[in-house]
Amino acid sequence: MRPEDSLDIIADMMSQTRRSVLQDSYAPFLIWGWATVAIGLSVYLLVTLLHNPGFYLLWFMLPVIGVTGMKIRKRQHKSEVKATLTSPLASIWKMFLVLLICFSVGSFLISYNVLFFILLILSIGCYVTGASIKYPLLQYSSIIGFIVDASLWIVTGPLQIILFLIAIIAMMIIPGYKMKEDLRYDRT
Amino acid sequence: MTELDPIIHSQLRLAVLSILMSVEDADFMFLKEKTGSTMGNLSVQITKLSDAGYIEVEKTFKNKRPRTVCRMTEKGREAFNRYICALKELVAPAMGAGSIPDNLTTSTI
Repeated sequence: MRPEDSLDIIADMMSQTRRSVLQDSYAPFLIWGWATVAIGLSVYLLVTLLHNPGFYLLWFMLPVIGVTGMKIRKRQHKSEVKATLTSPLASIWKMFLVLLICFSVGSFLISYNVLFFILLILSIGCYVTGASIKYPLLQYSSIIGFIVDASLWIVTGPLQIILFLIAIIAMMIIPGYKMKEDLRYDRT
Repeated sequence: MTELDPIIHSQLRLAVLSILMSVEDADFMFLKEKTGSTMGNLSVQITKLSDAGYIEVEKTFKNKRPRTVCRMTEKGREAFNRYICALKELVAPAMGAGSIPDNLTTSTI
């Protein structure tokens, strides 16, 4: 085996591995993104039309829908073939999940700009993920998240939800579909 | 003359290590799928890498089915990086400086 052949093998295997691991990485962005949009729109419409702030509690349906969606996806794509991304990324998202839950629950006990903190955490998470898996679009789209997040200090009331959803679409749904397409056409 | 690690310098073993450098761990079937190897041959090569201390092999059960997971050891990473450096020394004079990506040494997903 010539040294040049060795380099080809290394590059080919690393490239294939990256594509395989990324193959399913777009799914959480789409599942959680669409779940957030669905719940968010429902909350916005119910709160603005029926003028009942109790409907904000619908946000707690988000983890139910998101986790259900992930389980369904996992069942549909059941495979023994698996490789695991380096653990820091998974650990970071676990930490973010804890923070998201804390801020969400806390907002019903203390009055504060909860969507600002949630969007900030999500923007950081998307940026870090994009940097870790070397997918720049995720990093760039998280900048939109940061910008919208800043506007949440100016905009108040249910309109914040609309801005929040715009950020979710920009940060999670669009990159999710783009990632899926790139993987299909081997453009990673 | 720069010598290439004979344990790594084998088509299948190099392929296995290249995959494991990119991930935290990979199961046997993933390695088989990506390398295009037979189960017997892959098993032999994984044993050689494990005996050399370059990878660790963990046999577990998932849903009552056996599952073999491989991951790179620190010794294996260092050996792989030395192998890459040795390759660069061998190849660079023929291909020209700058033609070999620097990120091959630490490329991760």
